[in-house]
Amino acid sequence: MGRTSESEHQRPFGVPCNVAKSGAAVLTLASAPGIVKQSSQALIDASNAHAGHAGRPMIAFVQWLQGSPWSLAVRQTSWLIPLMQTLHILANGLVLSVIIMIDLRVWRRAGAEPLSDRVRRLLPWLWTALAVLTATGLVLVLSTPRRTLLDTTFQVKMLIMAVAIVATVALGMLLRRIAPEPATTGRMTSIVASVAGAATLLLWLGATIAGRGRWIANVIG
Amino acid sequence: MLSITDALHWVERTPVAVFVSHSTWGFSALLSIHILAVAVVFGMIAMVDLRLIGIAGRQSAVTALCREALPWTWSAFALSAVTGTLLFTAQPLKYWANDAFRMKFAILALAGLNMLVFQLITYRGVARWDRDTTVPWAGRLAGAISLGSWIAIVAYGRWTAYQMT
Repeated sequence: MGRTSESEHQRPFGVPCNVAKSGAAVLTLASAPGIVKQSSQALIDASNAHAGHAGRPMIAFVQWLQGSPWSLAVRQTSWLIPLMQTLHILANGLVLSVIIMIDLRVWRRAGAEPLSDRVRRLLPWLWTALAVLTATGLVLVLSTPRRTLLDTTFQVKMLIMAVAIVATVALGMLLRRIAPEPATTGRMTSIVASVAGAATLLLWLGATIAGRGRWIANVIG
Repeated sequence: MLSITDALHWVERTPVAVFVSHSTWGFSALLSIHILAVAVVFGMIAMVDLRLIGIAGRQSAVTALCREALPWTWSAFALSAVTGTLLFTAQPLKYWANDAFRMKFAILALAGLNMLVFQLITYRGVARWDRDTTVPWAGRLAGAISLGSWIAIVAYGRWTAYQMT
């Protein structure tokens, strides 16, 4: 396969045709990144259809990004997008798993390793995975700027992710202070740590689901 | 005699399949959960694999790591199998004919076989290399095969969608 055609962008997730054809799904699931020649009015209409909260400067930025040589280069390299998506999923799995492993220790459902040691050992993996997640995510945004940046679900995802990052940093700081065991620093600290660990995991799960979460709008609406 | 094609046609017409393929959100919702579940399976397995290979977590015991990771791995795997089956019903004939999809399951079989050999043979002697020592070559090889397989499973899973025309 030489060039990435527009049709591949229309259904990159293998959504069945009959879904793509059914009413609202055309706009939410399958709207293609209008490749280069798209009038600004059409772009604004399309963004309104996505119901994204974007002002004119944002729309202008998306339009500029879509016509930029980087965006074109990404879209014209057929293997790049599936590769980025694959790396994105793998890195996402590592982020979730690191949080799960830390939580297991916080909830005292895991071995003898001191909690502070586990946090110090695992968090660098999380930040590395997050760096890969961000880098691949940026390339994917570049490939479909309008479908991402002007999309409400995507904006919600970015918000959840920002909160998840703050929560992870806070959890790391909290857990490093509770050395070596939450139990030894009192019952209250132990409960706070358990809840904070669960909340952080839920935030990351939320950010993951919101990544492909345009369907949520269809369930609600 | 009932052929595979007949069976797939039958699957396609079941109420569940009709829901998944015609609902505006069913397919996408299942796909989101499927990807999430597969990501967790990969992440948990990767941690065990990296420990076996000797790249990460060398201070912690292999048995402890396996005990912690396995329930999450199997739960996530079960979830990915259920959601994956439902996704399959939406377009069974197309998936069946999809080369990337076939590769994905061939590699999944390889990963399963690798896990079986590791569990039944190599893991029996785990007491000798549980911690503070290098894992024997059979264990390191099993870790490498597993890690490579799961990366390929995710890649072919993603590529499957690009072959659905």
